[in-house]
Amino acid sequence: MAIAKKNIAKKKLNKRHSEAIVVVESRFVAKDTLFPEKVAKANKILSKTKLPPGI
Amino acid sequence: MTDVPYSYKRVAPRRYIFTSVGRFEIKKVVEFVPLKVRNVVNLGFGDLLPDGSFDDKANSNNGDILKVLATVVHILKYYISQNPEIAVFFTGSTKDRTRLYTRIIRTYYSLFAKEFVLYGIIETDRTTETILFNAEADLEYLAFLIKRIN
Repeated sequence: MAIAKKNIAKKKLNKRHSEAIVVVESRFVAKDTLFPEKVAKANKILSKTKLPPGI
Repeated sequence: MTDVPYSYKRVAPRRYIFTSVGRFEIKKVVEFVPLKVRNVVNLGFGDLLPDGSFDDKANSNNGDILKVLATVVHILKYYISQNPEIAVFFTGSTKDRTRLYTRIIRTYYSLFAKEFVLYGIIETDRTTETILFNAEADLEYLAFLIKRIN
């Protein structure tokens, strides 16, 4: 009986360990573009530009 | 722009192609890619080369630049009409190309201004700032932002 309880506890523990933690990194990656240089240039200009209201 | 545009085809959600027919037949691609700033996309435009790569610095001298640019403007208008919350950023691949775009925008500004608000990005001492495009002023722009008037 004690062994059975121990096995159940072990299974529960293993189940808990199998739950993966997914970390979603929020980072912009300019992919799927034919013009990566242009996109990089645009981001660089915009990073130092104060944009008008509404944009 | 008064030139009749080429017919174009949407080949992906943000990508369009058309063929420039002048001295040669050159496939052109127009692409809208989201930038780091929310609701701002970059307009990329260039030639499809025979090896399958793309070149946005090509000077093809195909004799139809106004028709090509009219097509790009048409695609831009269509894209913005489908995505009215989006602002489109564009600049030339070289300073000369940006100056050419400035001259063309200056010429056709009265047509744009009815539907769109156009900003120019200019370089100041250490930073850059956005100003409303002024067709009368002789300014050197780094880039442009265009948005539909809501």
